[in-house]
Parts: sequence; C-alpha cells; structure tokens
Amino acid sequence: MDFSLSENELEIVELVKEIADNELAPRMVEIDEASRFSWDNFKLLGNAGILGMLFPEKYGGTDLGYLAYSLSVEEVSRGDFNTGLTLSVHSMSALAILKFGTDKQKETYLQRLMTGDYLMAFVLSEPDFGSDAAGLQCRAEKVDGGYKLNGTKAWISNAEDAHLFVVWATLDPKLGKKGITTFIIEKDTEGIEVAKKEPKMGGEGTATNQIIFTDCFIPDDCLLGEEGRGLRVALNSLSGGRIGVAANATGVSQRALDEALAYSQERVQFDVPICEFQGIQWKLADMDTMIEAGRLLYQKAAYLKQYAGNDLDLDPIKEASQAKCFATDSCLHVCSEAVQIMGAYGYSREYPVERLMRYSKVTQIFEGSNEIQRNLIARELLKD
Amino acid sequence: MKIAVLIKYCPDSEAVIKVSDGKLDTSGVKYSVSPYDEYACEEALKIIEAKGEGEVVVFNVGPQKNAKGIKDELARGADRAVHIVTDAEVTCPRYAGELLAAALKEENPDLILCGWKGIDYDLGVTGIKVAEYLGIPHVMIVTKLELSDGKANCTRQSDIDEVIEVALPAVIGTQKGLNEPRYPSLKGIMKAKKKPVKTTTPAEIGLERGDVRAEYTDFAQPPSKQAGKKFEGPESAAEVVKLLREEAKVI
Repeated sequence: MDFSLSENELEIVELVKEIADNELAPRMVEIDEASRFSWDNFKLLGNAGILGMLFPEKYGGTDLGYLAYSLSVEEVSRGDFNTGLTLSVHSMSALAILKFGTDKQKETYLQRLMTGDYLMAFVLSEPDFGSDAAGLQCRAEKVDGGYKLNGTKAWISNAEDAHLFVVWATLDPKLGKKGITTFIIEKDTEGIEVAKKEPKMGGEGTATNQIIFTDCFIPDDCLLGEEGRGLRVALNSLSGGRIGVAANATGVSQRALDEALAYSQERVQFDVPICEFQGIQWKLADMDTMIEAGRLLYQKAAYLKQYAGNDLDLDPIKEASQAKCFATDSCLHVCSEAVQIMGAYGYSREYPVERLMRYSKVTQIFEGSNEIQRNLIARELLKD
Repeated sequence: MKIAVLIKYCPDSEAVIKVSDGKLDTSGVKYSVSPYDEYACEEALKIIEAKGEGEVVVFNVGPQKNAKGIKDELARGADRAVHIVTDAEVTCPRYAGELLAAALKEENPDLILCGWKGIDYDLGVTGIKVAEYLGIPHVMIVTKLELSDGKANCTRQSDIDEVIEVALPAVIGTQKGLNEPRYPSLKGIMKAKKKPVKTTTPAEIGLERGDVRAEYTDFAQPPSKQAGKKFEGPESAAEVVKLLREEAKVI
C-alpha cells in the first residue's frame, strides 16, 4: 500500500500546517472559552480552499481526495479541535449532497458550502434515537407538493450557526429502516426551532443544540436521494465522518503530546528537566506510538475511501470504524497522560491540555460510539 | 497595468545560520520568500484586483532552488515570473540590481515593488540599485501606497511619516504595516504549476560578470556572551566597583 503524497498534496498539507500553527493554534483556548462558533476560522478554511478538498472543481472544490483531506483535518484539529471538528462535519454533510443530490441541489448549495459562506449541520440523532436506526421518530409526512416534518433532533453540532441541514426523518415509523428518508433543509424554513443549547463537558466552541420541527413544510425538491433510502445515505456519510473524527482525534493527541513534550523539557525537578527521567520518557514514547498507529489506521481508511470513489460496495466500513475507535480511545489516553506529565499545571486551565482531555472524551462517543464501532468491526469479520 | 514584484528567497526568519571555516553553513536551513517581499506581492495583487485588469510578474535572481519561492508567490496569485538563474547566490546587491534591471527593461512594468530589504543580509540596496540602473525614482520603507494617473503617493515611515510623490514607473520598497499578506489557497497552489516561469541566465542577458565592487570575504560567529556575574549584599560593593574599573573598564 502506498500512502506517499504527491508533490501537490505535500505542499497543501504544508500550507494547512502553516495556517494551523499561525492562525488557529494561538486562538484555540479563546474560542473554546467563549463557547462561540468561529466564523473567522471557518472563512479562513473556505478562502484557503480547505472546505472544498473533497469536491470537484466545477463546484468550486479542489478535488484533492480523502488522503490529503484527512491529513488536513488532523492539522486543523491540532491547531484548533473545534474548527477541525467543524471541518469534518461540514465536509461530511456537504458530501452527502454531492453523492446523493440532484444537479439542482448541487448547483444551489455546493459552491456556497465550499467558500465558507454557508455552514452545514448533520441532523440525525434524536433524544431517544442514536445507534439503533429503527428507533428514528422524527416524522416526514407526505403532503401535497412536499413533506410535513414533526419531531425533535438532539446533539446537533453547529445547529445554531448552520444555514443548511441534512436531516433524517421517517415517512412512517412502522416502515422501520425502510421508512428513513433524507432531506436538505434551509434553517430559516418556517417550523424549525433551534432549541436548547447543551452545556457540555468539553468542546464548547462547537455549540450543540436540539432542533424542533413543528409542522415544518418542505417542498419535494428537498428530498435527498430516494424515499426510504436514507439509511444508505447516513451510513455512507458516517464512514467518511469516522475517518474525519479519527483525524480530528489524532490532531488533538498530537497537540497534547507537543504540549507535554515541550513542558517536560522545561520543567526542572531534582536538578534536571523531567524529560531526563525514564518514567516520563516511556510515557512520551507510548503516546507517540499510539498517535502514529492511529494516524496509519485513518490514512489506510482514507486511502481505501478514495479508491472506493462512488462505489458504495467498496466503502471501507471496517477500516473507518477501526480508525475511529483506535484513534479516539488513544486520544483520551494520550491527553490524560499529557495532563499527568504536566501535573498540577496540566490540570490547570492555564494550560491547554485539560481542555484537550475534556474534549477527547466526546470523540469516543460521537459519530457512532466506540462500542458501536466494535459491533461494526465484528459484523464485518463475521460476514461470510 | 503591469506590476513587477522583486522577491528574494532567504533563510527563514526562524532559521539558525551556522558559520564554519569562514563560510556560511546553510545546510538544513529552511528557505522562504523574504517577508518584506511578501508585502510587495500582496500590494501588487491588491492593486490589480482593485483595477480588475493587469498582471503581476515576479522577478528573482538566484540559483535553481529559488524556483520554490517563485512558486509560492504564483500560488498567492501572481500571474507569471521571470527567473534569472545563477549558479550560486548573488551576494552583491549591485550585481543583483544590474541583472534585475536588465530583465525588467524587457518587460517594461508600470510599477516595481520590492521589500525594502532582504531579511538575510539586511542591506536594503538591491531595490535602489534597480532604480538607478533603470533611471527611475525610488522610495523605500513605504507603509502606505496610493496610485493616481501616472503617480504614486508613498508614505515613508520614519520618526515623522513622510509623504513622497513620485512619477511612475518607480521602485517602491515595502515595509511592514503596508498590508497583511494572504495565504496561498489550495487552488492557487495547484494553479501555480501551470503558470509560466521564464528562465534566463546572466550569460543570456549579457552580464556574466557584473559590476561587482564588494565581496564577502569572511564570516565569523560573534563571540557568545559570557554568563553574567551575581553579587549579593552591600558587602560586595567594593568588589563590584573594582570589577567595573578593572574588568569592564567603564569607570
């Protein structure tokens, strides 16, 4: 397997690194502390072309492929995890339009989504529905000329700031999985209320809200893909999203290691910098090894995703789950070790690692909990 | 409107330059376009964007490796480039100016922008030499630039801001504060590959030997600072006075 990047891709990752170091990293704490979406950062990604990495040039994209994209998600996340998460969720949502949308939908939205003028949110989870697709409650009732939506969505990242939602609803709960249908809906449509903002353990720079649909009428052309085929759209989007989250977590881990590494060389105890102690060295070595392993897993999944192209049968479900699972489990461990190495300073809000550690927990939970990832991996193993 | 931007490809501002055997050791050093030249390129792009027509042409003199720096500016948005390829770095700014002026004559730009100095040797001479060889005016250390029919109003930074009007074409040396240089975009990076870069050589220009009047003959690392001495308590005053007199020789 060849993960080597072309000269083009290398230059692009180099540029993203530079932007992460110079523009994103210095403001990470400030943004998270203010619990506010950073339009500056999002526009920066749009202007640089980073939001368009997975999209064809005719829609304003740069079409650089999954490998360069996921490496960029890692770099952006190392700079600012909130912005990295937004990059991943936004790209995954926009990609659903590219893959399943009509020409008109693509022409209406993609360009604006690439430039950073339009932010997109992925509206799938509900208060009582997460991993079990059959439990989806939000209802899209067929009416004259379109659909009428009723129901509540939960844990929607960037719901407050997004312009456009990709929404999953069922035509009839009795149909089970076969009722699930996907829609593209503008946020300012009548009957949509972005409700309660969830106070969270971490990742406060990415607001998470409930969305309530009350007799929300949407015309027929909001349908994304076919009626009753929404689960397919969700699963395909999520396998890409998992690679994004794996890259996001890897970036967070790398930042934690960088912070701990720098600290360990400055902090003097017993007359030597603490990095001279083997106990600290072993921690640093294990952290780096875990990060590298997670990086290789997501790179492999990205490589396969790129190779799969539009062929849904080749979608690397197992590899994406493995990357997500491993990189995010590692992330919590690596961040916790970074806090440990930095001791009281690590635990203090004066240093960024406690913030990384609080955020790292959610990477094990969202985009399919790691338990579900393990189910998916096992299912693929047991397939005949 | 055609704007020429002169760029220098220098060791990065964070690079640590070592000296060995009286020569500079630049092995492993990262190079980038001198930051002052980035202000020049940004200003050129902004002027052309505001006008809606015209082109930005990047000029560089130096070895093959400088192609990377040229490409960076093309990725930022410059339209094309002229690279005078030399075997080694041209350290004499007089000669560099001569070569650039010769290449600029062929292009006849309406305005020439360059950083007021390179961040490597900090001489600030090349731009002035270019103006001299072309017989046109120059203003250096410019923090604000306004163009109006054939003239440039330049604000020159000193203790008091000076506003200087020059007729175009002129060489304007850009200073920090003029603008905020943009990042290249991913699209820009991909497009840069296809943008034309004309290469030439001093021999082709007919200046294989320039009017070099000064050459670097030796480099040496300044002696490293000695650790400071600490004195505590009033009883050390006599000792301090003694050392100030005998060692530091300041009293």
